[in-house]
Amino acid sequence: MEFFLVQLFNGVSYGLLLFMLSSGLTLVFSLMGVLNFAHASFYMLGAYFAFQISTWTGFWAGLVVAPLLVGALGMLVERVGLRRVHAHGHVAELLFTFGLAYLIEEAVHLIWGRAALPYHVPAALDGPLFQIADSPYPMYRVFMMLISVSMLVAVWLTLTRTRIGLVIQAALTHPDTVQALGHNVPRIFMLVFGGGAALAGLAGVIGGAAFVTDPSMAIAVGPIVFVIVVVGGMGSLAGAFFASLLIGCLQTFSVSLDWTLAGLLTTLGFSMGPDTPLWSVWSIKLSQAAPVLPYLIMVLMLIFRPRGLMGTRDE
Amino acid sequence: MGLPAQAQTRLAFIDPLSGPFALTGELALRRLRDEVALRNALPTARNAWEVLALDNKGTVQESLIALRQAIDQDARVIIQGQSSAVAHALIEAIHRHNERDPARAVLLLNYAATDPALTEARCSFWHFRFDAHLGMRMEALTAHIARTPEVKRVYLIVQDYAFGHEFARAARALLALRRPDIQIVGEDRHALGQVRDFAPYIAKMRAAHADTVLTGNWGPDLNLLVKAARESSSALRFYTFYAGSPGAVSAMGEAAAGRVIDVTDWHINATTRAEQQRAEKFQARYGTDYHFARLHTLVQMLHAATLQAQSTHALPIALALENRRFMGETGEVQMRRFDHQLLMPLYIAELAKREGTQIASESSALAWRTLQTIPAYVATQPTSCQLNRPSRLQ
Amino acid sequence: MNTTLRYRPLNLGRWLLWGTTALIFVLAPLFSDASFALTLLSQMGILIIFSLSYNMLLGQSGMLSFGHAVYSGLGAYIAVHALNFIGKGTLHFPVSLLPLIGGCAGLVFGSIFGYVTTKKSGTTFAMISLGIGEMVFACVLMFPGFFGGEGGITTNRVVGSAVLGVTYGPAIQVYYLIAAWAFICMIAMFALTQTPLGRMANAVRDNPERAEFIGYNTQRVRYIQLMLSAFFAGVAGSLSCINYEIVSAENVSAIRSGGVLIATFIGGVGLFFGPILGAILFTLFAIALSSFTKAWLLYLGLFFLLMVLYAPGGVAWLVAIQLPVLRARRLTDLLWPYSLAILAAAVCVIGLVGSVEMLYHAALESGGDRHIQWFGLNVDVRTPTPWLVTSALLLCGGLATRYAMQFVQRRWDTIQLALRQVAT
Repeated sequence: MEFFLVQLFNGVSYGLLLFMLSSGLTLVFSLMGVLNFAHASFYMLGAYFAFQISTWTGFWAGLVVAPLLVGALGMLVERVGLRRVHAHGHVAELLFTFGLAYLIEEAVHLIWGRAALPYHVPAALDGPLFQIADSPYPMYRVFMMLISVSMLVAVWLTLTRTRIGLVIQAALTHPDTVQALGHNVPRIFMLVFGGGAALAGLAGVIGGAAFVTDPSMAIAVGPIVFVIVVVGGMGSLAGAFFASLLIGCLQTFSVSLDWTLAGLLTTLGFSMGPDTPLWSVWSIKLSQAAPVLPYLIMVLMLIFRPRGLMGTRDE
Repeated sequence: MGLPAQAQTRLAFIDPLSGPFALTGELALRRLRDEVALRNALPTARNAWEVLALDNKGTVQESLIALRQAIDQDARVIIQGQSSAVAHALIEAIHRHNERDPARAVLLLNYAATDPALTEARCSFWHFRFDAHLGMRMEALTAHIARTPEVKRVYLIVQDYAFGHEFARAARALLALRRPDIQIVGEDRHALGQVRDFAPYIAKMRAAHADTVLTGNWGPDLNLLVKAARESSSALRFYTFYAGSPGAVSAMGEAAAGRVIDVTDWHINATTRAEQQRAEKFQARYGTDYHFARLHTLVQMLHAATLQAQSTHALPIALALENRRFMGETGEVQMRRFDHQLLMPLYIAELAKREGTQIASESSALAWRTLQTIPAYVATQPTSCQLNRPSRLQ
Repeated sequence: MNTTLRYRPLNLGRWLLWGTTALIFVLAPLFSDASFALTLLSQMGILIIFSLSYNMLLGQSGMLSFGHAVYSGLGAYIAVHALNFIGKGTLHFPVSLLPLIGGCAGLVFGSIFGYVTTKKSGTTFAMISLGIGEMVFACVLMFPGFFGGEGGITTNRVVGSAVLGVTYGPAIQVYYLIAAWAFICMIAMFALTQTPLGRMANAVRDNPERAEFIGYNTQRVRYIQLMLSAFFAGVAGSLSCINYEIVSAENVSAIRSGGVLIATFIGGVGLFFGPILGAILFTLFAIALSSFTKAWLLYLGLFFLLMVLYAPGGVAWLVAIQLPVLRARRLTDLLWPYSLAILAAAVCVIGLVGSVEMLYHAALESGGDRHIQWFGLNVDVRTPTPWLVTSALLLCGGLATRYAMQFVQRRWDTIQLALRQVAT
């Protein structure tokens, strides 16, 4: 039971971090139809900015300033680049962000070097917060969960309760009408893109300290975030939330299970052994396959429910 | 043979110098240049050596192209190390080239690729390894564990690829031999570079009541693992092979203090004062730590072999390298004739808070300190290699 | 459907074009005797097939894939096993036709993965292809039994008895094998664009709803197109297996997939010969430039971004739009604006390259030698003067390019207007 609880907490906290990452991507996608390949690069920039700021003023300033900086950069990208390729369609936009991801990675190499940075959890958040039976549970994990839940609430409130949020929602479905009503739709898009980048940046500030801040961090999380967006249903914020939790928990729990296909087949009455053809496939443990499970889920989802968990469009 | 004059002077360095794997390649290149400069200043150096840096971008195919470039530019010695896959490919290509064009034969001096097969099943006369391979390191590690009674319940975690599988296999075999009382309470394989959150693995280790973890992980996979252990305040100790590689100490940070033990051929606090001073100079100049000490051994041994061979051809140099002994900074090393593997002493070193005159790693507050020195004969493993000596020698 | 068949006079231009292409393939190795040049040419040949096959997706069907290396890589793995079986004598098959095996393997994997990926189009397809690519890459490392683990699988292409003296030992023979296959594949892929399927793929790319309305199953068109494209990718993969005599995990990696995407796009996705141009440019970029500078990735990224922003049709498109102007003998009118623009851009590029090189030098060689030698100039990167000079060049060059391009645009519009008036 203790083990189960610890893993549950681990799964949920990791899932929430994934959600922080994928929410920005989903938001931008649902509002602008733009799939931002460089989203994970903004996550990386968040961590790097936060590290740089933390060397001057400490962790907390980084937590606030770094996402804002990343957001500003995102707006700049939208204004200077994305708006220009918008006319060429969504594939062109995707290509643009793909090139951008390339460039950001090289720039990070250039400015901060190729090695991992000594960016760590601040002393105030270091150490255990409470005990689950015998296992101490780290304070930083709880902090991670708090930040992402409050972020979720803030985004939701902004979209549903504020004037700008309502305009954004209207611009999503009827951009021409909104424009005709006197709102500056391009500026709304710029704000949204910057907001999405800022959310990724925030995830970077949190994740960079918990994990490792190095130039490979963008490539490492990029594909998984895309998987979440597909599984959750393209453009659905709630879908992304459930998909993040699902994948976070699934990865965490499958790590604890040493089941194999061979074991399953043996209990079903087949006789299996190292001489069986394709033994290396049958003997893969679930824990071993944990990192590729999200991709498998994506494939299954596409076969059986192409619109994703909560997607509305079937395309 | 009317070879151009520079034939004897070019060392081709083939390793990643751009892209995601460039960090270690660049550090090694810097160190190699430093060592070659040192060698060029020797009174016995009759001509200056020059390093030809070729970027293989971390891929096998580009490495083979770089090899062509190196041969075209009259390099006779190839220095490579950052990937076993590349080493295997280069060996095959060099073998074929040397058979077709013996007058322009080339040598491969490997300073870091640690796949045992390179000096076992797939060994080659044209390949020399100056690093301790996985089996040797595991011998050293288990020899240390044999003297460490606190280790009772061991957990293995490796990356799910050939090196990781071999690591786990060797660990089980040697632990059973040296410490049959140890219980291996679990083994995990995870996809290379795919795991961000290692907390579930740590929870699993804790649930298995492990006290020690043996891991072959390197790069982010190692750093993340150690950071996750610290985060969940576990008292696990990690035995690794790669905690000394560039960037690892700053990535792990305080998390590693007293928790990480590395098997290494060199660390700064195990060497002579003279070399420490060189290291400090190097650090002041480039702002990075001194890594790849074996490049010193490599360049010095190559220099001595060239002197003895009195030739610029690969074959006589290779013959002169065989069985060659060298008094390195950390003791005597020898190039074994049967498989071209350098036999060397190894260190079991622990990362801890810096004390006294110790030199810190990567500008952190942590320093390596030796727990045990493993003499060369302990770490030496028998070899199954049947060298494919050139037909003229048989 | 017989209406699509019609009599056409002998298309002399087309014969000339293909003839010249074949001639270039035959004569290319004669220009340089360095073994390195031959390696370069072989690589180009392989990449030409690969990027043409990629363009069957991106250019012709509008499917942006981030995982195309899966098909070439898995094709290469099957081919390497087949070659090893041939070597052991358990399989009798000519090495020259090995790409067929790899191609069929590509086709099979294309039909498996394509079934899932082509369920979606557009950006969703892109994401799924990325996910599949990641999954395959992880699996390749997980099963060292079949995929050879980290070291990959090595092979020997010199197997069996020589046919007409061809053993594939010397690199030149391998080059001609690659060239022959590249030529055949080019023709085959070009022919495919002329078939109803090729046309349908274009329709699905441009207006899927309408294509669906006419009664075509867009998903099936994408699926078939992907399978065929995977076939040619498999051919490219097996040629690389013969050329390098090793297949390792990098063959299916995301880096390889990204590379072919960049190559194809730079060349131009809208025209059939675009990817060929792209393959040549990309190889030169990656190999020639990387031996001069460590910053080649940055330059490549910048170049790619500029193409996306300003020339989404790629280099081929830039060339192609000049043709009508040339035909109308109006290109001389553009000579002056073009030279101005090129001059301004050159200043800008010099400033940019100077700044970037100094940045790299300062960042990666910090504390080391702080001087760079540029064409006899000894530049100290720690003094402000060179930085000011390069930034000034960059800035002035950039502004000048902007104005020059406006000049080009005005002249261009006038000519186009004139051409249109002539046409009507």
